[in-house]
Amino acid sequence: MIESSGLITILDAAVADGAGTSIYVGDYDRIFLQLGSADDTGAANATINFVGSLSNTAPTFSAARSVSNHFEYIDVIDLEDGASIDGDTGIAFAAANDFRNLEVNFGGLKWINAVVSSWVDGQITLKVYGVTH
Amino acid sequence: MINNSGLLNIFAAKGATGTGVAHRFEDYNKIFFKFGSASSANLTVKFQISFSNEQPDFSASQSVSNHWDYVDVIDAQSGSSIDGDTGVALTGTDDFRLFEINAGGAVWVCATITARSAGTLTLDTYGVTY
Repeated sequence: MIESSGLITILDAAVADGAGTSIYVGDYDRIFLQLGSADDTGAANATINFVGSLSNTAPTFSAARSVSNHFEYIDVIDLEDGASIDGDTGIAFAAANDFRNLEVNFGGLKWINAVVSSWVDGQITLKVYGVTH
Repeated sequence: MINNSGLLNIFAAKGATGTGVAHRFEDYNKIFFKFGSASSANLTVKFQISFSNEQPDFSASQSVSNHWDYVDVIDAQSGSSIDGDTGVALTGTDDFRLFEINAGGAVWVCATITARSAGTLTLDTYGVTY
């Protein structure tokens, strides 16, 4: 029987560098991301890196990684073309809004989040959807 | 319904070569590793599995009666495959990684540290069936 998380917001029209809201996805076999941007003063110009953890409690994704604050930058698959997007690279908006569907390339994570960096403009919205069929 | 092992420790800040604690994982079809080092680690880690009924001696030589092999893992950061015979080598820079065994269904899971000259490694494993 299907079990899903529904859409849960990680970044809600974010307009600054920083991490979003950490979401527990440990109950779901497949994890999808819905990424979209809108104009702030102008179109999106920022980089988004997806981060995940197997730790029992959510790490501080905005802090440095360590043995006790363990997380990793996560590879995702772009559902538009099937391409793999390296976790260290993430997705860069270059003064153009975009709307993407992605799948986390590592089913089994307990925690998911995203980090905005190099923000110049735009409102970044990211939601996660977990599902087990 | 989800069934998981919780995080089980293989190495706890281990600062020497050697084989870690083996765990029985046959109840899980997906198996992961949580890998973190400290103190500028310089070492190599190789992941091991077995389908034997009884726990093999992962620190001893492979044989028909002591059957295990190194296992390929998938790097969560890149999606790339890391050959079991190669393992993961740190060369003085600490790292924090997540891996998935590229052979879910293994009965036993373990890991061995080789070629260590500095630092410590903490390694946990996590099995899950959805």
